[in-house]
Amino acid sequence: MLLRYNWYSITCTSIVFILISASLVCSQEKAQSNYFPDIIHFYQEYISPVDGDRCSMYPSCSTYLKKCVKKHGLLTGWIMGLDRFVRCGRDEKKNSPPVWIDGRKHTYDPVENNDFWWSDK
Amino acid sequence: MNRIPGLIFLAIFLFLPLFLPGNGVCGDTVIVDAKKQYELAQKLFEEKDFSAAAHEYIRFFHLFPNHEKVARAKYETGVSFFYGGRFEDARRHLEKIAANFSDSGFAPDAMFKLSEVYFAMDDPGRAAAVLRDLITLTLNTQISDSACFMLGWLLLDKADVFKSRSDYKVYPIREAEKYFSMISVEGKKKYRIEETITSLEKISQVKKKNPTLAGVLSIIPGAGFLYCGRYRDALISFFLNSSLMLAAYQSFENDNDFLGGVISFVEAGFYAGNIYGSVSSAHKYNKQKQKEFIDKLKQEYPANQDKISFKTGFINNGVALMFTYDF
Repeated sequence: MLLRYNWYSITCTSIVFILISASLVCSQEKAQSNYFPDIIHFYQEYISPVDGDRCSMYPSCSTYLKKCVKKHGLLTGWIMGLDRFVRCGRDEKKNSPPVWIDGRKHTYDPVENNDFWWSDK
Repeated sequence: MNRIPGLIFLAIFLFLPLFLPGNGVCGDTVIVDAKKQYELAQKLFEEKDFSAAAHEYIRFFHLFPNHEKVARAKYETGVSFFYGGRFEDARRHLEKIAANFSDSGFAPDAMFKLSEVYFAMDDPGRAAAVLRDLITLTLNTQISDSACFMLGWLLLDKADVFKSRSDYKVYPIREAEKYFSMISVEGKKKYRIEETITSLEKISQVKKKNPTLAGVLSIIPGAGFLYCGRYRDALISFFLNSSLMLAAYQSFENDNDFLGGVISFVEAGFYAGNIYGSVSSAHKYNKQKQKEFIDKLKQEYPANQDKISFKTGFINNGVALMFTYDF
C-alpha cells in the first residue's frame, strides 16, 4: 500500500541505487574515489538546497556518508552511513556534545566517534 | 732636528683613534654581555612574549656557547616555543636536549615537557612513549615517581584512544595501575596514589554494555539499540526495517521482482547498519561510562587535580589540548 502511493519517490530511489549498484561492479578503489562521492555531491549540490538544510547533526548525514566511504571503502561506508540515517537527530543528541554552526545548534558526531572501537586510521 | 718631537706627536694624534674602542668614536655601539642577553630573554618570557623570548634564548647560546647557562637556555627555548604554540619547534629543541640524557642536566625536564608537547599535538601515544623512556633511563626516584604519576594519568585520560589502537595490546587502565604501583612509598604518600589505585579497582564495577550481545540482539531490528538505552533509535530502526522488509515481500508477491530487488538492497544496508549501530552504541556507552568514572576520580582527589589537568586551551588563535603538570 505504502509503495503504490509513492511511485515517484521509488523511481528516484531506484535510479540512485542502480547507480550505486553499477559503481559496485567497478573496482572498489575506483568506485570509492570517483563514482560514489559524485553521487553524494550531486545530492548536496542539486537536491539538498531544494529539500532544505534540516540535518541536525554535524557533519551532515551526506557529508558523513561521503567521509565514511572515503575512509573505509564503499561497503563499510555504506553501512555506517545508513546507521547514521537511523540515529540522526534522536538519541544521539543526548549522548554527543553540541556544536554551533551559523547560529544553529547541531550534534557533533564525526566518523571517528563511530569507528574508534575498531579503526585506528 | 726640532721637528722630530712634533712628528711623533702628530703620528700619535693621527693613529691613536685606530686603537681606541669603537664607542670612543661614535658612541652608538652596544656591548651585549651574557647576563644582559639572558635577562632580556627571561623578561620577554615573563611578559609572555614567548616567540621573542625563544629567539633571544637562541641568540644567547649562539653568542655565548660556553656560558654555564647554555643548557638552561636551550631548555627554555623549547619551553618558550611550546607556550608560544609552536609545537614543532618546541619538539625539535626539546628532543635535542632529551637525546643527551643525564639525571643531573635538563634532559628529564625536557622529556616531561616533550610529553606535554606531544599531548598538545594530539599524539598521546608519543607522549606516553617519552614518559616510558624517562622511567627506564632515570635513576632518580623523584623523577621516576613523577613520570609514573604523569604517565598513569595520561593512560587513564586517553584510555579510549589507546584501547582502539590495534598495536596497543595492553589494557590502558591496567597499565595505568601498573605505573601507579611503581611509585615509591614516599611518592605514594606525596601523590595520595594508594587511594587512586583502590578507586581504580572499582572500574570493573562500572556497569557496561556487552557489544557482542548488542550485536546479537539486533537480529531483531532495534533490539540492540534498546539494550543500549536508545529507545527512540530502537523504535525507528524497528519500524523502518520491518516496513522495508514488508515492502520487499509485497513486491516479490506481486511479481515486481525489480522493485523487490531494489528495496531488498536498501533494506540489507539498513539492516547491516542496525547491527553496526547497536555494536557501536554499546562501545560508545562504555566509553562514556569510563570517562565519567575517570572524571569523578579526578574530582575526588583535589591533590591530584591541582597537580595534573587535561584541558583545551587557545594558543595562537588555535585550539590545542593542554596537559599540564605541576611538580
